[in-house]
Amino acid sequence: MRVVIAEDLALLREGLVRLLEDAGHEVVAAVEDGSALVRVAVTERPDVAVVDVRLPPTFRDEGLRAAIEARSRVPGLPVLVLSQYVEQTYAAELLADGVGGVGYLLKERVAETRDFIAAVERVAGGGTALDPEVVRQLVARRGPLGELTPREREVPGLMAEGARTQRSRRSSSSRRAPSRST
Amino acid sequence: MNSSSAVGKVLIRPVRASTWRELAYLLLGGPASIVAFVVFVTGVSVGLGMLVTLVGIPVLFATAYAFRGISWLERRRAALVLRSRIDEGYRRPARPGVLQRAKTLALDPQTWKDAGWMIVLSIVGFSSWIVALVVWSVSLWALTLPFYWWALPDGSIEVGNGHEVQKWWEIAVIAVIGAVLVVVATWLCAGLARGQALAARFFLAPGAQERVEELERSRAAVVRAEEEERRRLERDIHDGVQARLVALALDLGMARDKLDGGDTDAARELVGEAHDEAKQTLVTLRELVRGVHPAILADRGLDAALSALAARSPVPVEVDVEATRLPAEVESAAYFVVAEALANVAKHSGATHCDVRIRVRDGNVLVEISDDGVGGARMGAGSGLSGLADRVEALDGSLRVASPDGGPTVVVGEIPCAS
Repeated sequence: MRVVIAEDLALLREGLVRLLEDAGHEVVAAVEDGSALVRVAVTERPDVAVVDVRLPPTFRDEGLRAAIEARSRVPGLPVLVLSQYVEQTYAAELLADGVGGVGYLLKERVAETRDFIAAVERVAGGGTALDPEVVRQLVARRGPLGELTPREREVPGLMAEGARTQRSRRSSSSRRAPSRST
Repeated sequence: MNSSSAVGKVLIRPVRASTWRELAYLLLGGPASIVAFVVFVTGVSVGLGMLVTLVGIPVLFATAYAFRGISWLERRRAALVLRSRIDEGYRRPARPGVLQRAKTLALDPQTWKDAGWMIVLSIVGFSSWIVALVVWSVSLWALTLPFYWWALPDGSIEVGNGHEVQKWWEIAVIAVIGAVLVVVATWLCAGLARGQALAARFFLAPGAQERVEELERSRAAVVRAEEEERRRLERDIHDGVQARLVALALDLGMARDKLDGGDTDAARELVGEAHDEAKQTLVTLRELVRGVHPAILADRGLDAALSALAARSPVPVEVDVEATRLPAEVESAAYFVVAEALANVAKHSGATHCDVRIRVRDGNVLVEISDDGVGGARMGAGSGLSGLADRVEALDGSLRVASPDGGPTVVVGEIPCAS
């Protein structure tokens, strides 16, 4: 699998490269900022991009914007976004285009190396990897989901974390109540 | 009892220290009034006279700035009598640019109050000066007459309507009158000095409206500085400690995988790296905590904290602190002014030596950092120094930077402290 990495902190960039290469993947480019990510996404056409949300020069949500931009230039480009904090708003923005191959994880999840590699592979394969923390935020929101029973609430959660179908993604991203038959 | 102590109070007046400060105040008032008069008359007449040619406009603005300079001195002269400096409150231009400055200057009521004080000072300062000179010289002449009348050319002295004083008792009467006059002179000068100083305060102190504006501005600046500080702190944690911990966890995770796969050499190497990461994280964390608030400052005060700061500076720093413990917020502000200034010295100045001096003068803490570097430091918006200026101003202090291109750079902070 060909991977590009966008991470500004050298320490983590090198760690990610080593981790992915140990797992038998090829890191075709490791860049430091958002515009470089968009550039290599277009030239290298990787199987998946692993992107830190906060990148220079603004150190705000540069990485997220770059990921969305890269996906518009290279339709269907699978992107896994890493962040020190997860915000469901960002998750919603990532999922908004309705095309698969999106991941959004807390950065510290990389420590669970096998789970992380599995998440990268799932996203590359067109699946979704949402951090349990994002899912918790989505589920905890007051609103339609709040009316579900605890058991029913688990369903979109599980679907969001790893489900593959378009339908389940839409139900979580648009925050509409999933149909009870799910 | 009461009446005798009141009499004692009247008589003791000449030997009280305040008497001499009042006299000094009045005597300095003479030259001050002359300068004010000359600047006012020339500045205003030249400025107004040339107004039609437009050259008058810059002349008038320059005059207004000259008034500010004189008012600056006047606020300090008044401290001789009032025992505290008169507050200063000028409006600051909201945006840079000459036009904006001119507009702010013209619309600032303090500009006009300064001009008013120039007129009042010209009259009151000068006349009080004459009165003080006359009463003091007459009373001292009379009081000291017994000591030298015998040395006068013909052993006599003429007073008033041609009467020649020759008898010893006449001299004694004059000396007694002189003694009474000294007491009268002290009270007269006290009244003149107090009146003049209070008038100065009326003209030179910011009005309630200006004070409110000043407070609003400094409050907003503090909120802004705090916001910036939080952002900086979040950045430091994110890029420093948090990133290192993620790398550490990643190394350990990979080491576990290697162990599971039986590759102990690779695992040992990864654990070693993780160990280094953990130690580095501790260093980063310690520096971060020190940046938030150094424990030594609270424990041992400014001298110890600044010495520790100087010891870590790459540029040799000489620290000279002439102060015992000060209020915590003052110590903290002074510390961070020095910390930021030293960081700038290390980063930009190219200096080979730096001096840090802390002094307490008239209830103000003076913080001075000077280096022999290349200069050119500016207190622009968003710089660390301007954030500190906000913080210092919130304590009613001020921060000034003098840094001509080519150096040297001097940063001076002045923070009032209640102690």
